[in-house]
Amino acid sequence: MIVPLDHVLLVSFALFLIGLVGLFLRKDALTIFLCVELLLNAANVAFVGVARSIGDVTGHVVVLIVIAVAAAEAAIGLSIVIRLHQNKKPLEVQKLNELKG
Amino acid sequence: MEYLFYTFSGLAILFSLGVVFARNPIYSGLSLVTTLFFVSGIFVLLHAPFIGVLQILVYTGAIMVLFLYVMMLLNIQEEQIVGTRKHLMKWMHLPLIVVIFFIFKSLILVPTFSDIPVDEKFGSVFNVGESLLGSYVLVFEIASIVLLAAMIGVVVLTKKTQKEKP
Repeated sequence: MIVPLDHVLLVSFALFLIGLVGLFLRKDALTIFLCVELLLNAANVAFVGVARSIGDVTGHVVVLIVIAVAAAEAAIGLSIVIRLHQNKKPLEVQKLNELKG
Repeated sequence: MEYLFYTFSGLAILFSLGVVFARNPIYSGLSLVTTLFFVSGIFVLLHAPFIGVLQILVYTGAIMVLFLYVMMLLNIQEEQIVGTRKHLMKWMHLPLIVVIFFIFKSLILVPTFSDIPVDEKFGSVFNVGESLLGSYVLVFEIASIVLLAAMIGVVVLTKKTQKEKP
């Protein structure tokens, strides 16, 4: 059973596109974080596919690091969201423009 | 066995559409959990059983539960978040999609990626662990420092400051 690498990359491409569209279309911070997770997963699919294709296990190591970074990013992002909610700020990213000089 | 890959891919793409177009962020999160399950199935079919298990344990079990927990903790009013952006920024993804499409096309055309048949041990815990703790042990340690920094950052961010105390 060998799935051609092109099809794996196509799946990764489709997931990445959907995540990218969501990143630009949605306006609340939580769904934007979910779309970032989708992008990271699309990249992981590509890494695993290429690792299988060239028979090198380095791609799996990269995926592990990506998962660790995703966990860190999710924790930091969600704590910022909680902080915004505590200070009664909106969760819409377009309205969070206080740092604009 | 090949049909499993296409089934998992199709379902993953279907539920990832649910992530983007669900109105309630809770439904988006649950769609993403389902997508991650199917992506984990894809990993197992691509000779990466260890990564597939970690995907379910860490991603679905820890990260997504954290997301859903925060969403339910915040108890967001629906009118606050539903809908899309009304801004020029909304259309900025179209040029990006074109650029990524060309990157993808060039990646497909690279002739060096030939499908080498891999043996049974490829992608097992032993195989990945040997690589992770052998040649990539520095990367592994840096990942642990990243997680430590994130943990300290979260504690600092969510702690109430002195003047906020009642």
